[in-house]
Amino acid sequence: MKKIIGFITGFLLFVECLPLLSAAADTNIPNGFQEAAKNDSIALYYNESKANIAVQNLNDGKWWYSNYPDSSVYESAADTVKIRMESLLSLDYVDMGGNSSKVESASLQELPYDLSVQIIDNGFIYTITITKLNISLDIEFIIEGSSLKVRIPDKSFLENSDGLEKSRVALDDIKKNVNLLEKVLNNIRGSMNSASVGQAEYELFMLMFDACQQEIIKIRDNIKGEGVVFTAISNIRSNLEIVFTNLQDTNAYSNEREDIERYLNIISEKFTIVSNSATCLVSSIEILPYFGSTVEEEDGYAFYPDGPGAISYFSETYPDYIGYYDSSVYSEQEQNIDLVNQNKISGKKIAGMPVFGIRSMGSAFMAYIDKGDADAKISYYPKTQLQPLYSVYSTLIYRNFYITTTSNAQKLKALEKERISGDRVLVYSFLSGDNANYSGMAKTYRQHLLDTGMLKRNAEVKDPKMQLDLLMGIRKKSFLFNKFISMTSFAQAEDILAELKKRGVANPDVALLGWNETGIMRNPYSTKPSKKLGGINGIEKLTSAAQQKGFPLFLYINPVEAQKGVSGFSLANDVVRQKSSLVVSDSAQKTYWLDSQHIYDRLIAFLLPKNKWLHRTDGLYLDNIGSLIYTNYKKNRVVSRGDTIDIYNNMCKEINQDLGQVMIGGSNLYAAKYSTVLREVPTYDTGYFFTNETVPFIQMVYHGYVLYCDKPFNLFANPKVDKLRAIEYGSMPYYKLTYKSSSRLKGTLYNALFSSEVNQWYDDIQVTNNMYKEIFHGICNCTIEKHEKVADKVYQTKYSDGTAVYVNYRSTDFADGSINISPYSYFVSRKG
Amino acid sequence: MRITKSAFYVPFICLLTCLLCVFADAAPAEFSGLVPESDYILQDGERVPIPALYKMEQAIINIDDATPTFLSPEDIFVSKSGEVYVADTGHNRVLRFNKNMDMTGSFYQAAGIKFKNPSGIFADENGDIYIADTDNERVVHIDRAGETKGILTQPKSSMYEKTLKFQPKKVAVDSLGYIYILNNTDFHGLITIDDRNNFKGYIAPTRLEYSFLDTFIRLFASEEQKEQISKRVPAYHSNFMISNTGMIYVTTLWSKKEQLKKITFSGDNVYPKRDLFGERHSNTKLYEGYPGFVDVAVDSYGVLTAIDSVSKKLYQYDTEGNLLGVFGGEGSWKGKFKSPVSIAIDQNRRIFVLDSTLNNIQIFKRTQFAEEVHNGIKLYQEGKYDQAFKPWTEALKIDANYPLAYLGIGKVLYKQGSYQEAMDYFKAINDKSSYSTAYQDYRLEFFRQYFGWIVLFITVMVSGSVILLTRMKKMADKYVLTAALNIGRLGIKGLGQTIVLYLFHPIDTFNLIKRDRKNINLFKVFLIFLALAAAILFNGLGTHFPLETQAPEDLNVWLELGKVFLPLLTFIFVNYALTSIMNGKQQLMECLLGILYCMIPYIIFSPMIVLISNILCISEADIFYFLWTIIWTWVIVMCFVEVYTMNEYSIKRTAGVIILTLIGMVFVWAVAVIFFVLITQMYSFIKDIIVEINLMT
Repeated sequence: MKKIIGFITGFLLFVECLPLLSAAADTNIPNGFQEAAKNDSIALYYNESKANIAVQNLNDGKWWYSNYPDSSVYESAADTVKIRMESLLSLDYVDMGGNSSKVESASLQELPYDLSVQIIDNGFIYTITITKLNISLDIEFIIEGSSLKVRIPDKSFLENSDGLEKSRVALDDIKKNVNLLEKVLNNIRGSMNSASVGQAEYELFMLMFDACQQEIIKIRDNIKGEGVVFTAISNIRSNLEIVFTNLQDTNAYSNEREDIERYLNIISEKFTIVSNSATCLVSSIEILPYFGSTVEEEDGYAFYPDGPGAISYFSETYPDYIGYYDSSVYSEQEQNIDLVNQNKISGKKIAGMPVFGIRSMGSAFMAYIDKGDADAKISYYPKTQLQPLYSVYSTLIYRNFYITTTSNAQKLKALEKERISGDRVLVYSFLSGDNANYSGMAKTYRQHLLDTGMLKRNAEVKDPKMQLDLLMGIRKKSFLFNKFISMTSFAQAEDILAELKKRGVANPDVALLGWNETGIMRNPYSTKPSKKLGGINGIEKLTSAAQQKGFPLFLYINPVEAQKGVSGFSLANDVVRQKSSLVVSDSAQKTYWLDSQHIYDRLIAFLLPKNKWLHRTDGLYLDNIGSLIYTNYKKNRVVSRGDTIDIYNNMCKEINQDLGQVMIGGSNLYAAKYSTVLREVPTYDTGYFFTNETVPFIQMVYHGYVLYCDKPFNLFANPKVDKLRAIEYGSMPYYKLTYKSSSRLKGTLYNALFSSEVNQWYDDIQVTNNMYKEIFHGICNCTIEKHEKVADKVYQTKYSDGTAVYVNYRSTDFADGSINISPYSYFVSRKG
Repeated sequence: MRITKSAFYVPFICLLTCLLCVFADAAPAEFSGLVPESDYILQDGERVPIPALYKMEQAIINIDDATPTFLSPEDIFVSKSGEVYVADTGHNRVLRFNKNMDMTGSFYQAAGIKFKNPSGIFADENGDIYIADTDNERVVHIDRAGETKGILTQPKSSMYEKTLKFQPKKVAVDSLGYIYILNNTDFHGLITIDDRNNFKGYIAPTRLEYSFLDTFIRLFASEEQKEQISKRVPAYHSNFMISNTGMIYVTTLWSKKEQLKKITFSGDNVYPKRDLFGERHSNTKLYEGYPGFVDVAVDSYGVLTAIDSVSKKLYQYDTEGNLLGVFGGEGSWKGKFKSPVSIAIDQNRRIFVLDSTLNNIQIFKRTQFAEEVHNGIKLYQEGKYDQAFKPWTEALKIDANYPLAYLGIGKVLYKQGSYQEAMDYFKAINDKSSYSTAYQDYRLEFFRQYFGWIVLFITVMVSGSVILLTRMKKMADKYVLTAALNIGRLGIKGLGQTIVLYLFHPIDTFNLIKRDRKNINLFKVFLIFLALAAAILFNGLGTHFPLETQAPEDLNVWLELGKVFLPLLTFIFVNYALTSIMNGKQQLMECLLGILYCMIPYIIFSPMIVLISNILCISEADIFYFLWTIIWTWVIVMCFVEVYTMNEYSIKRTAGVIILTLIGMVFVWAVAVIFFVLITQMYSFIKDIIVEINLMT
């Protein structure tokens, strides 16, 4: 019987695959690949034997393989690397049965696995079962337009811990049903004794039988690879069949009943053994790690989101110690305040957008993580002896590690049990022709964000807007109490605004830093304006003065951090906790991160309603929101990184409704949705040795929708070069000023503001303001359509209205046709 | 012994420190927040961010297709013609590059023997290369084409210390053709050899640093232990270079002093002495965290850049040993290092740093800011003071707080004779010695200009004082008489009168106080307190800048007052308590008033010292301290007299009581501190319990 069923299934599969087999005969299709879907732009292929995929861009004919097709180029590599290069995915896992703090890495081809292919509309599904790890997951590949969507449905991702739990429930159901069956059978027998089998009883029996069958199938699906269980279940099935066929035989059931009972016990036992021994938990999956990977070529490069965006040419082989790019998306994955500070010191940038891409042979793809971006990493490996392919890819994180203390006070790294839930979706967009470069990638991504509402224009801005920070006050540690140092009082701020207006600075965005009792750098922020600066009256006067001039006024707060010794938060309830329920703090135990829900409540339920004067300002400047997200393992529930983003977004939305505008510190993608200005959008990358060019990817996505700026112009060490970079990247001019001398900041946490006295900067502001007016007049609401290197140290940024801005970083003149640029200068060519 | 203000407060300050420790424990300093991604300088031990000095311009990772890249290279050298030489130690070869960093030569052997761990390199104007071929125990001299021109092995001279293996690490040749060799960890100094291979002796030995701890241990150590200690060798040189001017710049590893040296041909260190070059590292206990300088490079302005191998940072100093900035740091990206081992500067002032772990050369270009700073230094050195003004002002535009720019402008102004303006600039960066120098000249000029007036002023003042004093003496004598005549009836009414009396007849005054004990005027006591407070504050605010211990704006009023009032009140309290159980005759109020009167010399004369200090500069500080010593001696003697008179004690007994009082004061403070500690502990204990309960629920 089983054989027959198997045969039929096999036959059906064969018939189904027939058309594909015939397609494979087409000479264009590489060996082993079969077409799964095709539209006007791209065609999708799969290779069942190797578990590979391939995409052909029909516009230019370029083939993109999930794994480099010619294995000879990496022959010299180590075996593990070779296998990795042939795998569709690699995963990091922890064997909870063995050493639970050791992370194992394996690529698909290294592990025994089963693969089944299911063709669906516009694509196919790979169901991968890794027997050794008791893991099974589906990967859906669907083409839409010129994009390939790769999805790992959360539901389909089964690890034996999940499977076991579900199966246990199913087993209980079977046990219940078996008992019911007996009752039903007794009834049947009773009615048989009296007369014939009643129709109703018979139907009931059939129903119970069906239920049992279904539960059995569930168990079978969930515990793939467990041989004993599988046999036991098959036996139960056949036992039930025997009962069913011999319904009239009164003894049949009691005979079979014993057997069923025995098999059920076997399964139960097996469950106990399995759950007590080896259980593998996946920490992360590197998906399509070698998609589009390549060897040296003339005009190819990889793009990765380091700083504003960086590209690395496929031109040279690097020594092995060159390192690689590896960055969490939005914020370090670890709950580690020191690490965040360390990155600030060393200048390491974190990816602000979940994007990457490759340009190869005149064609390109750009990929972005559409779902699950809050828990992901982007990596780029340049070609080295050990790693003979250039590859860029993303890693999906399913579980975080945490530090736990054992009973003998040893610190151990452990993996959390709960998986970060949710589907993971990656989209690969294929670009050709003029779009097959990083400008095209940015345009594609921008379009996607606009389509999904992730990016929108929150304020209509045509002309450049000067960005100004006024540092009002800071507390300095001194004997016994903290002294409040006033840098700019509210009245002095009025003078500054008046002077700026006089000097022709039209509608700058003015943010007040350290306007409250706590001053800047001490958090949780106080909601009271500092009396030393002029109190509520002072700030109200300043607000109306700014309003009169038409200068939007923002109040700065840093809602994320909290310092020890500052009141306004509870260490027990409001701060972020680790998995081990310890509080997250820096190594000096002075700084904490606040729970995002608490941040929301403090702002929306406390700050906004209690301060009426606040509603006369134009908005809030929320620092850190755009550069820092974290998981909080609260007592009752976990607030994931994704949840944090949602809470931030809700908060910004409400401020938007209440006050009108939000300004955010940080360049992370989610921050653009409700804000009008982003501060600290990087114009420089970390500077890895394999990075050849910095490119304004983030800027190309944002320009025309959100204003942005990077570092204050008054802190430049290389004013000539740095200003030019801001112009090239369309960054707004930004000054961080004080009324009094910045030497007063010595010994405070803000001593990095080494030159801010406004009197020294008025002239420079005026010059910059006029320069920006000249360059950016009318193009602030245009998008950047193209950015390219015209010649060595000469770049061009082209806007959607046809305006092109050229910058020359050379110490000599640059001339090319009608363009003539003096050293360290710019040139604007306008159309029409 | 000179009793200065500080000496008097030693016990008090000790206790205060204890108190502060307790405070610190209760609420640790909150410096953590803003950690700027920037270069910095050090001011009073604090890292102060500055704009970037250098920007990484080019990194040499791959050499060319045919040549494997560097492997643990140890030394880099840039010749005067701009050619770059690298001792690629791991590959046992030496490479030469042109200005554009294209390889123009590679050398693998000399005299038929392959190089073995060559770790030092030097090249002269002709392109002759000197290589410290370390493991072959020789220094080789080859020409441009690689032909061997000479081999130097271990010197044969009797002066040469033969117990040490000859393992040349670094090599350099001066303009006279003398060859200097750094032999591994040899503390005798650099080996000097002339061009005919004759040993000329050692230069610049390192000396064993005196350690108090060692001497202390030696007192109690056994013979074996002593032997162990005697095996301690001095910190050794890690690298050196010879500048265009023939100066030898030497770095010393893990040294407690003279980490960077500038040595003349005669072997003297002429580099300004500083407490410490570089920084103490808190993250390592190795060699007590002293800096691990491994190489130094000096440009033609004398600006010195040294590599610290521990922090992986570069420290740049000017010719006077002022820190211009710190940059670099650990990381495996541009501008950061893993193991920076060698540094060189080319004619365009680009800095080349060789990293033996990242196996690359990073070339740094100066930022606009650094260019201005260097130009300022250069023009000043060339004596073009007028021109030096501009770059310094430009530098100040970029960093309004950059102290070197203040110093630079100050020095320019000083040279130009604008002493007063120069003083303002020096004062802004708290540079007392420069201020003093400028002030001295200013004062001289002032004296010259107003000599007549000044002589007149002094004459008037002196004669005025003499007249005043004689009159006061007469008055005082009269008061004594009046008081004696009016026993029990009148007393002395005015505070002014009492003070005049007190200054000349203290014992009589104390007796009068005793006699008038029923009529002690609390308002008078309050007035003296007020005057004392005023004197203290005037003292803090009015002292001349070079002599002040603390800047007026940093003055903590309560702390300053507390420093005088707390010991004073404790003295009164303890002294009263002691005398009352030791047959003393004084009452509390008498004691209070008596001791307050003791402070009158301070109240009257300290403002005068403060005024006088305003015409003094640092070199005359001794006069200032001497005057203070007089006042405090006076006050102490008065206290003695007070106790002696008021209690009708013998001199011996008075001395005993005063000593006991001092002990008692310490005791009182100790009790107060313990009490305070206990309270804080209890507070934090209760707080912790509350937090814990909160956590549980």
